[in-house]
Amino acid sequence: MSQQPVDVLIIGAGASGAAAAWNLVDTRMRILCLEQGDWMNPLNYPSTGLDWEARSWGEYSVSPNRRGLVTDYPVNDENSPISISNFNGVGGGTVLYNGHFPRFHPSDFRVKTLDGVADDWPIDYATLAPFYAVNDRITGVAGLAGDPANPPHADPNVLLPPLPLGKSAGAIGTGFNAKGWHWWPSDAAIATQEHDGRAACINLGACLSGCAQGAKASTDITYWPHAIRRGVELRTRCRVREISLGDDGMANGVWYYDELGEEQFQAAAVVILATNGVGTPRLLLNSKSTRFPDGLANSSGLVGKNLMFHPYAMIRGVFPESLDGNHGPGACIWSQEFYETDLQRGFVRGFTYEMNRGMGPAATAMLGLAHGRLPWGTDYHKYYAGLHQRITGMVAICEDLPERHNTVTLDPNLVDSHGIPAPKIDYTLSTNSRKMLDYAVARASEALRAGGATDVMSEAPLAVGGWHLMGTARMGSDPACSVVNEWGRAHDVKNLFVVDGSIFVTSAGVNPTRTIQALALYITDCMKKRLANLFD
Amino acid sequence: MNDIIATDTRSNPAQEDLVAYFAGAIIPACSEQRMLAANDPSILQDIFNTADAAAVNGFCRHVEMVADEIAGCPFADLNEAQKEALTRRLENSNAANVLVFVSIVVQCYYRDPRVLAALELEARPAYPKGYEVEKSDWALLEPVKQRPPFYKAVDE
Repeated sequence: MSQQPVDVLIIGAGASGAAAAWNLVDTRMRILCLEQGDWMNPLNYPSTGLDWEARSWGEYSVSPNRRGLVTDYPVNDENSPISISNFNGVGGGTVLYNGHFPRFHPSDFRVKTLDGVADDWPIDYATLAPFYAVNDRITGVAGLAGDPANPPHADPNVLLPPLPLGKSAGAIGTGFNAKGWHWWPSDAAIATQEHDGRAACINLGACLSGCAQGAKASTDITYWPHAIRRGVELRTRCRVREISLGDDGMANGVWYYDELGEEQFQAAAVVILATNGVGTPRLLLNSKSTRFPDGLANSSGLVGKNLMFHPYAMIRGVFPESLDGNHGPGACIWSQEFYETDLQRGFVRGFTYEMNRGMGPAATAMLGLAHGRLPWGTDYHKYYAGLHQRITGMVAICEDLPERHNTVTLDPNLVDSHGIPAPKIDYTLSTNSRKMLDYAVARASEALRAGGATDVMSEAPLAVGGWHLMGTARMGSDPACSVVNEWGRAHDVKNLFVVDGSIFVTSAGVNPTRTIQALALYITDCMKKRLANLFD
Repeated sequence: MNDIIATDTRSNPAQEDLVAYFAGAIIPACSEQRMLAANDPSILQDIFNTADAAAVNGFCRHVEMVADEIAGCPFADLNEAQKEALTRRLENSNAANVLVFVSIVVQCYYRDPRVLAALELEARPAYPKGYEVEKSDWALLEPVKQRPPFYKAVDE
């Protein structure tokens, strides 16, 4: 294993690290990515066995604390109503995401101007639009052009056929039609026909625990094969401890532990962080020096501040007829009827409904037991029969606003298997989010009942819903109010870049992966255009 | 000589009786719907194979604690009415030890091929055959297609 200096060192092989590596490869620079997890073997995914539900709650759980794999690091999220979800491996969170793939709206970049809250982004929708298009081509996005709630796709011709509605989306669509509300087939990072060597979706129904078919676009099977074929080196089981700073104030490499647990130093001319909204502040805060005693690139004091999730509401209806059960991709349709601010609702900003299909038998039972719909004992089977394959519903993905008191810090006691301090989460749900969640539950319940549901169950916020980790190294033009500039370079360290969700200024009300990847492509494109004077 | 070593035995006979009792109390058999109980020997073995020692010990400790509160005696000495009262207490409990145990019982129950067959589900992995999903009725989307674009335009 070579320890020769590299031109570009990327930390993290997930959604953004993969896109960054792929986009930089044509510079012919020597590019190395260090990933703390392993390559995935799709034939090990839970949907290859009868015990798929149990495994999706265990070794394939979205919670690193529940998985507890040697490739994971623990997270202290006891002081948060929402627990952290992530995945550590090649592909990162895309291995376990649902593939629901909306874009930001133009208004999402102008929240301060439009609603007087949070901040505007230093870039706009038009800046990212061409990178959304590139990302869509690599990813393979199923969808249907013409959604009145969204700007037109830059290139609708690259869209793959939309996901099937099935009985579930049919029932929900009927309800939304009855209310006169918007819904549309979701854009989804799922190949509905062969795409770039990947097979078409065959409705395995277990997207959230890895796609054995390879239809879902996790970056281990989209960007990485292309990047590696063109010369990028990807080292797995390499956990970075800290970024090293030279006397000149520039990052000069990283200290990491290799697959044998040996400490290594990797020199690099440029360092790119792609380790998500928790992993990135953790690394920066753990990279202390005389020049940066409070953590690298932290002269603003904002590293680890302004943590945003999307508080989720889960709303599920019980229907009198049999629906799809767990067959078919979870993603199917969305509604953005309540996306923009309407002050009569009692809160600012808004949310997207992401409709999810049904669930497997064990999840059905757990939902029924948790919500008091399924008694222990004699009547158990009678009531279970009323739930079996009859449940469908949605989650509301609520826009979270940045608040400084929501933080990622270093836990003073908890460490990972290499002794690196674990991240500690302190997060409080805002009054605005609470009102938005309540509103989302109420409207979804109305729509489900209008579609024929005879019972509705909800949970808000969804305790396990910390999938989207944003805002902890925010982007901005003013070094006093942001960590990176408008093209992702740290204000304080001119060869340090961040390309993950940490740089989000606001969260929007949509799943962030498509925008994270568009940003990674945009930032690396800016780097390529400035190669001659990248550090000026 | 057998191939079991001391550390393989994660529960004692009293704990095994207790686990069997509650697995059956949560999901009993139903002849009318041809459903097995969760303390069917094969499912019970799966529960013991799946639950780690901490889960079994934690649940058993919790049961004994509640038994002591109800009757001041171990679970094994409770009469039927007291066992029923204890079961209702657990059913309404949010104690982590109880929730973990219920989750393990449910996971093991719904992966037993006989249970899946009784639910008219194919007892096979999803992959590689996959599933069919009902064809889409795209006519449902017509009212939405009639709407003009309504995303907020922004001066850029």
